[in-house]
Amino acid sequence: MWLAVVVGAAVGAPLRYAVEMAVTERTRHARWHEFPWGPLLVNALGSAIAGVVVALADGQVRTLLLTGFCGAFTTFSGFAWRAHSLRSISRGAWWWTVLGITASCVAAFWLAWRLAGG
Amino acid sequence: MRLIVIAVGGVLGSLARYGLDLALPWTGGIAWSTLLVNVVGSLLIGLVATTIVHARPWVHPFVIVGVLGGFTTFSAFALQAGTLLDTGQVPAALGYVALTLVGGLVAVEAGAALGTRLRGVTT
Repeated sequence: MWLAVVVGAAVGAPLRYAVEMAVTERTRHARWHEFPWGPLLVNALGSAIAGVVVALADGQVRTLLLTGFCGAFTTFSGFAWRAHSLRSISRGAWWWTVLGITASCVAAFWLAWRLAGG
Repeated sequence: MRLIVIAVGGVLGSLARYGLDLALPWTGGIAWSTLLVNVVGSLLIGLVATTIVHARPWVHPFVIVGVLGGFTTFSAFALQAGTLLDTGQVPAALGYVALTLVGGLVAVEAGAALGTRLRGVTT
């Protein structure tokens, strides 16, 4: 089981970095460039993938994809740090961003899970 | 290469998270192992990002992107909250979400405050 986590995480972590770098580059000059688009994308996408995995996979495959890949692809620490940064530049609005991203991810998980037959 | 450093860190952080999951399995209600990794991970990113992140070039990819990114998880959090809601355990779901968000955000602030203070002491 440990090996499944290793393999999943070894793919998930660098992929998260690549996606976040690409998102940062594309949104650098956009209107709401301080919004945490990177964490939103990896966390929502990772949560949706988790929903599909839970509906369809078992055992080692599930561990590899869920604990390994999704666990490493998504991040709470990165999200928390961006929230901290937002808080220092926007007194009130940051809470809505936090709640909005959280709700989006829970919804992404649930929807994907149901669509995959869970 | 940076991606390899991130992968190694990510694996280490994920294994630690997995170990905690095995030690404190989620049997319904609050997912303590996930809450723990997310709050501790948030405290650590606050601390690292305000202190040693610029000390060496590998600290950011290895510790922050890799270890802490792998240690913490949003998918497990979303899965647990979503499952609690789906099974009608609304108070537990809301309580778990509140604990995680408040805990994580207080932790990152505390880590950053501590790190800033530590840097002030050593300069």
